[in-house]
Amino acid sequence: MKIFVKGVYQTNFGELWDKSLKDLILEAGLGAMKNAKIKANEIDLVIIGNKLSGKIDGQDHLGALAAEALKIKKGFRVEAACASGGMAVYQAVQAIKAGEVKTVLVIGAEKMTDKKNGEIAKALMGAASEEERRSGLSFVGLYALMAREYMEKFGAKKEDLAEIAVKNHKHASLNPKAHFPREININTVVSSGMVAEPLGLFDCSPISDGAAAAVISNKKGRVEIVASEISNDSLGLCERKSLVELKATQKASLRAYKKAGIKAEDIDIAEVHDCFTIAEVLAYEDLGFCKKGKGYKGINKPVNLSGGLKACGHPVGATGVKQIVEVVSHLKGEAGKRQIKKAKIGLVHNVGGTGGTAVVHILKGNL
Amino acid sequence: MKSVVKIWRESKERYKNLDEKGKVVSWTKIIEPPTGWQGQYYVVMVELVDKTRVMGQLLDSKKIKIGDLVVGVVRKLGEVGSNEVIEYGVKWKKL
Repeated sequence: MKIFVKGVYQTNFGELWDKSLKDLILEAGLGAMKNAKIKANEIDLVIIGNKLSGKIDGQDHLGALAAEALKIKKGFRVEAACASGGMAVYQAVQAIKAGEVKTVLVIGAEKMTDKKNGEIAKALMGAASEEERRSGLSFVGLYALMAREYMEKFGAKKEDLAEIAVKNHKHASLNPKAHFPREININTVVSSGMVAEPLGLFDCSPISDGAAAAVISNKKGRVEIVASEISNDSLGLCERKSLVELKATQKASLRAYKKAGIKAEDIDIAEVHDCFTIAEVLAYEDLGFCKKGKGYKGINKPVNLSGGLKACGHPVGATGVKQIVEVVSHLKGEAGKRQIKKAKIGLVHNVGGTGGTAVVHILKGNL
Repeated sequence: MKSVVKIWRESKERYKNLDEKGKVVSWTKIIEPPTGWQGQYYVVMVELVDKTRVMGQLLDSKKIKIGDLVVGVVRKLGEVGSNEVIEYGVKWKKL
């Protein structure tokens, strides 16, 4: 069975003080339906990816909330930490393959800026292990442990990691919906205040509000989902032999390439999970775009044209769906100023926690 | 509020690395902590003799590097409010 993306939409990402989570869900859902030229009664199911609403807003029951607001018959929520959005897309593909539904609306949404940074840092640690929480770690701290070992092992410098942030801000400068649509230089990154050594403020993706949505169906469309794969690894870093690789990313992407009948070098564009600069470097290597230990030197492939999590913003549940929106826009030739020419195959890589979950999608356009 | 029962249930697990020795395989200094923790502190990943890896805070060290030897000691964990149980556990001390 072939499965297609019929329409997509992204809200602005940023500190959206005038928007509630429900406002964001509605805007994204209606936007994707309009883009797909489809009405609510033609949609069989809405799946919503969200991580934090229950913790920070007291609202857990988002499937019912979205189904009611959008007048769709059925709905449920999916949670897989920062991969909640990607996992919602995976669930949509599974539901269509199972033959129970034909057309699914997937929404990723997160409202984060109503709370203080420390409270968000604590809430996000729900994606880590008990031992990591008890040690007073934050997610920046966990990726800092990975960055430290990477730098020691392969000789990467802070300046090398900083290049990732500079590149992603440059891409975001062409994206009017990005949280930070402006360029920065290396000096801004390396001289920014430390959050968890060796990672500074500009190595980190921001705390953002936002939502994104996609209509997925077995009815023919211009972009086909040719692979949808997930994989898991240990929840905590201590149970892994190495801190410089995400096994879940490696396994999910290998399976996805096999399903799609392609190799890593066939990918024209990619949106990868750069929650921190080191995470994008590891993604290059684990997705097979370059050899292990070489990613910090950069690669010759357009990655994170949206601005990535770093500069487009990271409303955690929305991110995995936004990545799909970005790649679909390029494959359809609708990406505006940042359009990549002749992009035919795109990859989307969404990570939960420190790699406890990885979701990889491969999309093919027929322009 | 922390649960007394939960802390009691976890107490065996909590002290199992007491007096264990190991070497630092990675470390970070947390400057911006999550709610419930105060100030700046070091967190280390320690590899024990049997190759098991564990995580914990380091005691007041100014200089730490990968490969340093450490030992597990009992200390108070985190910060508590007036109504909460004071939580103890293992932190790591440079040898």
